[in-house]
Amino acid sequence: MHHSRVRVLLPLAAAALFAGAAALAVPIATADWALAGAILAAAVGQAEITRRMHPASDAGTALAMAAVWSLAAAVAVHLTTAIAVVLVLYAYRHLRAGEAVAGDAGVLACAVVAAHFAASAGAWATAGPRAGTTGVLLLVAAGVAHLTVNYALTAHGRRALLDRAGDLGLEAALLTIGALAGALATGAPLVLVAAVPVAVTLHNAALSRRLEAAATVDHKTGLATAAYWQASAERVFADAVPDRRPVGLLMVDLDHFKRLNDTYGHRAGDDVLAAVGACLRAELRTTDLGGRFGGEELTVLLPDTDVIDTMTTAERIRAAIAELRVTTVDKQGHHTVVTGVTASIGAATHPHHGMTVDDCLRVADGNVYRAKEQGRNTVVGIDTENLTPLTPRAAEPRSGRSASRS
Amino acid sequence: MGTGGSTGGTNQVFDMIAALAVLVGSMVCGLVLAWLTVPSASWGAGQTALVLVSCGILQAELARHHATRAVDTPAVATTSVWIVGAALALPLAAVLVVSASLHAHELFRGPRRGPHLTRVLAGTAGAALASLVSSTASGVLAGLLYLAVTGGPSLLREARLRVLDAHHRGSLGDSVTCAALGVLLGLSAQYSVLTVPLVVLPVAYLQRAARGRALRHAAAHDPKTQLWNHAAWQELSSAALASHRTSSAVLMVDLDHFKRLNDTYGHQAGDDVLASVAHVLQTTTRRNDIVARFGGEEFSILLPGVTEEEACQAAERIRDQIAALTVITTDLHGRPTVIRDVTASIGVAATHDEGACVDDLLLNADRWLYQAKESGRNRVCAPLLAAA
Repeated sequence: MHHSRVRVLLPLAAAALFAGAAALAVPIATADWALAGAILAAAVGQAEITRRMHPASDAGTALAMAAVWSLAAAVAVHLTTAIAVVLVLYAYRHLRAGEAVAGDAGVLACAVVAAHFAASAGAWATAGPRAGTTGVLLLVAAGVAHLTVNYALTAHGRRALLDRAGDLGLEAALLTIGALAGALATGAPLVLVAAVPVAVTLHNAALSRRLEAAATVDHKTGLATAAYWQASAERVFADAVPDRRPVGLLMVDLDHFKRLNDTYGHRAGDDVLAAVGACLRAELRTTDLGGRFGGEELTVLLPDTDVIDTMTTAERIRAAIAELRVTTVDKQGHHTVVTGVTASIGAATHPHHGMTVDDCLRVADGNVYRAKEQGRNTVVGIDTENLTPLTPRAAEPRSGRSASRS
Repeated sequence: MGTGGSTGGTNQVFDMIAALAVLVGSMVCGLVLAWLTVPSASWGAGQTALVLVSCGILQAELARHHATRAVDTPAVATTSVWIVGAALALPLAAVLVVSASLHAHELFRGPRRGPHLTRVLAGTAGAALASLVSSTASGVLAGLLYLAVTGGPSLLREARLRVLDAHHRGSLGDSVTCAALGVLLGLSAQYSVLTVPLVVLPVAYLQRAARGRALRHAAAHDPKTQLWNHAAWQELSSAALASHRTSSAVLMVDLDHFKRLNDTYGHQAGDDVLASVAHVLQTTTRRNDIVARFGGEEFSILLPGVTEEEACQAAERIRDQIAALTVITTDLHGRPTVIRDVTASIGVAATHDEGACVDDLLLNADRWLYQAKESGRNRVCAPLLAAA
């Protein structure tokens, strides 16, 4: 608790220190205040447009958006006024959306300090837009400094660095706009108007990225969501059915999962699910797709995989799950290691078991049921005894039909 | 600049040739102009033009690479970023050369179909005008001028058709964003040509945003009529019902004897009739009404905040407009045909209590639709009308 307050206050205090020192070192011109006001107006305008388009926005993208205008201010105006822009912008956000913003404001103010010194090559005052290579290099340096400080200070916070790594390109794009708008704003303040629609559209890009991720990845297991898995399976079948290419489907059902939940608590249940999800992802090829069908039921799609390979993969997954050791916390909050997690797996393949995803899923589901009946922790698919007669029989009409077609 | 003359854009080959002629014309004009003004047109301008063209082509090829095959992505014309940038940073001669090169690349490699001539003409004219304005007035004004010349005609057409839905607004937003980014690019290119490659990244994300929007649009809309699809209607209607405290109504519209029409005239005719009916539904309803193709020849409409009486009036208006339709289409043998006898039966269900759910309303509307079919088609049936 105390630690987190220090983390919020320290950047703010550092930024305030720099703001004061800058005000003493170089007097603030009226033009600086005017331009800072214009940048603030553009930032508020952009935030209002975004608010109308997406009533529910998340803090991550909001921080990225504020970065645009804070970099513009850092490049264009006196350091004190640039920090003032950041603080006022966050005060506005707080009043408008009621978010706790002090932490973000401190981080961004520090990023502004770093970007300012990079853009002015270490001086207290910015030199305005410079022609030629030096000017561009200083702008790039400002952007890099901004990004670095921003990442360094938030990496230990509520967002992990890895989580945001995917957004790096987008943030770089946003910072490019901020740097260009800031550099040009001293000569032509109207350019800030042009930066607003660009920032709004880039915000849409960030949001659609997040929406897509939320719609496709199940957050508990890291596997595909049921809807996304189903859609992918339909697509794979649509490609495979005309050519009669094989597709394998597995249905993985954890054994006695309810008992595990009852004994160890839901936290342990979630951890086991996450571990099984990770195990599945490790065992699959990049073209395969694991999905969470609901509850403790997982599905696996194996494109271009015949009966034998499907059974081999299923057996490998069964063995890997049986060897899992999941470190977790039980009901009383004690650390425990859960072992002996097992799964019953039902397999089905196109074209042996059906021509559609639903047909194959139904067969796989029936096989899971049989695996449960056979004492769990087993794979049921095509029996190896049945396999020998089935393959030639399945091949016969195939060759016959292709002959008649050609 | 080349002169295009007035074409209907009916002949695709002619359209392509005319567009090419405009491009060659503007390219030649640009080169001649550059040659005439050699002292003022420095090597620097040529260099900047080259960088702009290369970045533009690189961007377009990247977009081509990423374009999803699954959906017919209405690609953003990011060409305009580079052309506006050129218009602001370079003399007129170089602007003509850049615009001709990028338009030519778009013509041969771009995803767009449809009338090339108007697009190329508007683009070239817009670039030239913006270039002339930017040398005297502000860059933002030049960007706006380019936007007006290139986007104005299509915007006017869409406004006249009254189909300026979210998707069209979105692509309008893309045009505005491209022009705005072009202004940023052009102004910063005046300082250093090195800023040009920096803009590639924002443009790439801009394209991604447009792609994401296109995917979402495809997921929620019916491709034949561009109305909402069943799933999206259900979701939007539930939300609208939950937020409206007053009564609301659902209309279920079903075309009469549609199967017979399909069998007689063929599927092309059927599709054209569906599209015409969809247009009637969109233009006779209000902005916040939710219109969907429910499947087959069935349409559903949610009218939030109306009484049953108003809903019946709206249904009657729709029935009337559909009966008055003249659809020009082609029959089974590809001959032009005119279909006049399209009619629809409509069931109306209204709610008075707050807790009503969409499914109940839908079920009711469906029952009254059945009633309308039973009692002779081409009519509106509702509890209110039955009581009267």
